[in-house]
Amino acid sequence: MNLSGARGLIRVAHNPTCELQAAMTLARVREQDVYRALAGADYPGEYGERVSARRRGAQFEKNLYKDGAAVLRGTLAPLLGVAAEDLTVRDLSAEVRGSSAAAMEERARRTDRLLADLAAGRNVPDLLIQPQLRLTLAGDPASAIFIAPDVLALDRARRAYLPVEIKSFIVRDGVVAQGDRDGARRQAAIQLLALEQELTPLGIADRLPEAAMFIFASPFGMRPHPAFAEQLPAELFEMRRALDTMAQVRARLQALGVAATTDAEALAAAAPQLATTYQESCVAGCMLAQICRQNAAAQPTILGDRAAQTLGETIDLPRALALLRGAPATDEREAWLGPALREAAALFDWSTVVQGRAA
Amino acid sequence: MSTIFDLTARLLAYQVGRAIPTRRSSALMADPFPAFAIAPIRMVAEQVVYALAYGDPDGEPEIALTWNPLERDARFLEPFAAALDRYLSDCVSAGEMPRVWLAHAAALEVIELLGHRYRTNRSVGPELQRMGAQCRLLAEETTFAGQQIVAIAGILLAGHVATGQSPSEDLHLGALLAWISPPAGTAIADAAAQAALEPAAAMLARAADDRVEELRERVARGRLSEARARVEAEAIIREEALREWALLVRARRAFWDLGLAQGPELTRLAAESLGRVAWQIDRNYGSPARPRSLAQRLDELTYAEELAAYADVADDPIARAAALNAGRVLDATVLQRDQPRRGFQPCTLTLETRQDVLRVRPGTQLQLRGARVVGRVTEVREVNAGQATQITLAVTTGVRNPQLPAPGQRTDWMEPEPADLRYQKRQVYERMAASADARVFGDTLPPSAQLQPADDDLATIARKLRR
Repeated sequence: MNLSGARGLIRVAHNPTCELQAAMTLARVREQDVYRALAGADYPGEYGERVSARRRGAQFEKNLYKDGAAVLRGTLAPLLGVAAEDLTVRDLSAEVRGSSAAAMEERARRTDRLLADLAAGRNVPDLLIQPQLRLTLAGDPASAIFIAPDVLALDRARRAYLPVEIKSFIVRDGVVAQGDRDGARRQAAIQLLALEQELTPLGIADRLPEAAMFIFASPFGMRPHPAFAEQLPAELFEMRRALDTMAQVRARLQALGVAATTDAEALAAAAPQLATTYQESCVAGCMLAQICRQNAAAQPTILGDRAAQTLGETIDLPRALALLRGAPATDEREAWLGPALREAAALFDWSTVVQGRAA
Repeated sequence: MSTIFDLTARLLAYQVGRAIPTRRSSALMADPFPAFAIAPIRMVAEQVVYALAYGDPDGEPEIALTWNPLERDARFLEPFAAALDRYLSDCVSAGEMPRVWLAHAAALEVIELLGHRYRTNRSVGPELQRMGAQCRLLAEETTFAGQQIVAIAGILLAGHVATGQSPSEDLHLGALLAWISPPAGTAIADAAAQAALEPAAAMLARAADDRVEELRERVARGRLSEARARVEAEAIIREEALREWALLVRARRAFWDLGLAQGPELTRLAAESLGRVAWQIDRNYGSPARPRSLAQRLDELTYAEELAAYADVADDPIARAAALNAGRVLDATVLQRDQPRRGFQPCTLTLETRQDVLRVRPGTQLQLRGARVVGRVTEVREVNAGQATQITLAVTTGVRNPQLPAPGQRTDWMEPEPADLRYQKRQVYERMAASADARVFGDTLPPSAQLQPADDDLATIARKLRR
């Protein structure tokens, strides 16, 4: 799985102090290649989106876009305050088919023209399906990546396009699962940043709200749940911070003499000099998590983020165990922690536990 | 569990290389006979059911499956619907608590979705609609703290043991089980990481999923006969359902093998759980939607929360110690008992404690742990230059109780058993419904009454209102 694009930025936003991850995103290398270069073997688990998930997502979108985007118009009309039949649509995925670089360039050119029309006060479609935006990473135009919102929807009153993020995840009892919602919000925030970059030279970036619209699925087949709009200030902050991280890591790579566009082997060779910050969330999202976990074997973070916060940066697991056994404290934190650990340990029934190896 | 308890437990587990119990009593009552278990397999993203392995967890499962759930033909679920209905109906009509085992939260999600999809679905027969209602009932029951009917093995285990890995890693049932029953000859962290490579989330393994997708695709393109594809796909799905079933059975066994004590308060929790489910079945699985029923549901949830918290502290020494650490339990020695007439009011106890954290003040009610002795704090004072605290407690209930503590006795005091005011609240809701008060049942608020200018301060107003 290639970490370039929105996926990589979201990962960097989750763990902005992990230089290795930011470097993988900058270098646009496949994660499994970096794993192989670091571990000397192929990744043993599953990775990448399943065929069934991809099919479902594609079918859900296709259902929204068919018949002149009838379902999409019906879903967004109440939010946009315009009758569904009055919403005009341009489907760039139908105009320029394919996912080749040339096709993406062409869709980006057409999107640029429409945004220029918007700035000039000319008529533009209400709904723009599969537009293509560019987002510059690390302040270098050569590093620009394509960001493709599912749809851009025109707020006629504001004369601004808002991203519409479409997800086939199911809404139950009006509630979107937290993880699904968070991911969609972060993706939409990246699209807002890309839109902002595109609109700034046109002089209309100030029209852009910190908000996006979302369409999720109902539990019944391909039917969408009613669309909703949400403010995204926190996600925008996270994503701006991720872009800052990318710029810093780019400078760091240059200082190490590693080209930003490199291969997995070269990146793996530079990995020992890049900071990795193993944390609890890495397990769910990063293929390199087990490698970083092994490297952090004595760090409190392997017991979870809460343990890491309690022990702080100065007390590793052997030291915490020593304090638990009664080692004298060397500072105020240890003076509090030692007795607290011993008091708690006295409650657990060790006698039933077979003595084994340390993990 | 508090942060320091959780950290200590994880540190100990890390050191010894296996999970350690974090409770000495079980939060789940022993299984009735027979119990019922469900191990679903869903299609990723689509969340429709490929298969359900179900039945007595001590026996061989039945399997209901379809190779193509996208066809929306749900008849394959009918044998499962019949078995679930028979089990729940038999238990409830015999006044016995049912017990439904699921492996993990992902399995519960599938059951919940079955409820959403079929409860009111007019394109299926009444059997599947009833199955939907029963699935929804089971999913809703899990929202009540301390409920005893749906046992989710992964959540139960994580609530009773600590591992030397992170809580996120504990979410994978296979990895959690590796810490509980470590395989010989492998470092525990490696064994857990290895286990985590196989999905434990009510879904097909990746290779199986890809193969079934490919078979369907080839049939759709006319490159393979449907009969041939079906045979192969069904065999794959059956095997995967049995894999999930085996995981569930292993996790259930691991839970009971912890050998934890059964606290007396579990009986109350079980009775509450059975009462809720029986009532729902009796009223044909209605879900609260109106102000009155929603308010009652909120009361039920609140009472369940309070009762479960009380049961935890009353039954489990480790939960009690954590509560003591947070000042919600009082460990005190009785200094004096003033009771002029034995067995009669007034009766005042003077308690002394050296506890660092105390959450008592005049007016706080306390109950002697394990006895019907309840009192109200009338005074709290520091003694010995702040080295200890003395508390005066006026005993309000239990002055004749032989367990009323005597001077010199060391005692545990905790928040009293929560008051069950649901009956009284229901009466209020009935009155409210009868009056059809616009503030509750209307769509708009009535115009506010003309406020009289008040010269009094709030304390005076409150005094007048109390008259």
